[in-house]
Amino acid sequence: MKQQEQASTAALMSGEQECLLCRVTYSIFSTFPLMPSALTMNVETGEFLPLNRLRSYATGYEMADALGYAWACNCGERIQRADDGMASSLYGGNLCVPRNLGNAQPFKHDGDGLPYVGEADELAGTTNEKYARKIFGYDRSTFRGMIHKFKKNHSIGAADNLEFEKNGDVYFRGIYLDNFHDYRN
Amino acid sequence: MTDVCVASASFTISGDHVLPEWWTRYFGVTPDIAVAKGEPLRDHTGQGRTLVRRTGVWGLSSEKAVRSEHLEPHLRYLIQQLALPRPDLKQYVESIGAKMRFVCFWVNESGDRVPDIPDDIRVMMEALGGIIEIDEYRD
Repeated sequence: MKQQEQASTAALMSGEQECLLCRVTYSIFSTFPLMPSALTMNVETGEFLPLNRLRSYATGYEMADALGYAWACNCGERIQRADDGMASSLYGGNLCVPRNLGNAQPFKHDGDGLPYVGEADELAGTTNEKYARKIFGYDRSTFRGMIHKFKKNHSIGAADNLEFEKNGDVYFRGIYLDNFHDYRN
Repeated sequence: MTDVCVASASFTISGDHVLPEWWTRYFGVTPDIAVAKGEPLRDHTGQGRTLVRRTGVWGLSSEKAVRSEHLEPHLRYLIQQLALPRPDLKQYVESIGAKMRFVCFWVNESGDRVPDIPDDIRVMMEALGGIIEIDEYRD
């Protein structure tokens, strides 16, 4: 398995050296202990994904992508390949494009909101209130009233982040609080 | 003023040792929230999980009684209803390790609304050992 992963990484890099970010990320998560219930967070979107899924990825780049910081990847060939593609399509060959756009990925979701990590039948959640409002389908006024009532009724601070699950369950620091849909006036 | 609520305030006492009935008797008002730690919660998913309340909360809200886009009328209403300040309140709250708060709901879509908390209310709450928290919504 390890050999397969290494081979996969090597194939992806086509002989190029992986950047420090990808190497460190892979070294951390590929050997992480098996924890079936553990979640980790995408730092860009605030969404959670199972740690074991992250652990299963074959490359550090895939892990960094899932964690939301793949834009900082500095793998030479990947950047050159992506930059060339973007530059030729956007700027007609002018290479003066921001470097961190080199790893831009197409959105994989419907609509204009943030993507939701995980399949419908997997444990997945978000601390992003805007995205939670979208998936729950409440208007802004109703939603903020519900958030306020929820926090007040559970003694949660105004600045604290709630963790929303798709089914409406809400957690705070991993502790179940209640189902959000009960808080509509 | 619009029909949409853009300001309200609540007074809450929260903690693992909050006995809601005791606080209802103490203040002599009907609360909007009165729950104890460990009370069962409904499982919406139908999985039959045993779900309980994380902590106890007793609280009174101005939302249904006061319509104002400013906070002061909401806070004054709560102070009047609860007969604040009370000389023994701080001691009771501290004796059970609870938190006492005015929690203010504050919609500030324009970004230029400044929450109006009168100084005498700030001083009173500080003397009682409580805090005033602004729960602001900008969008």
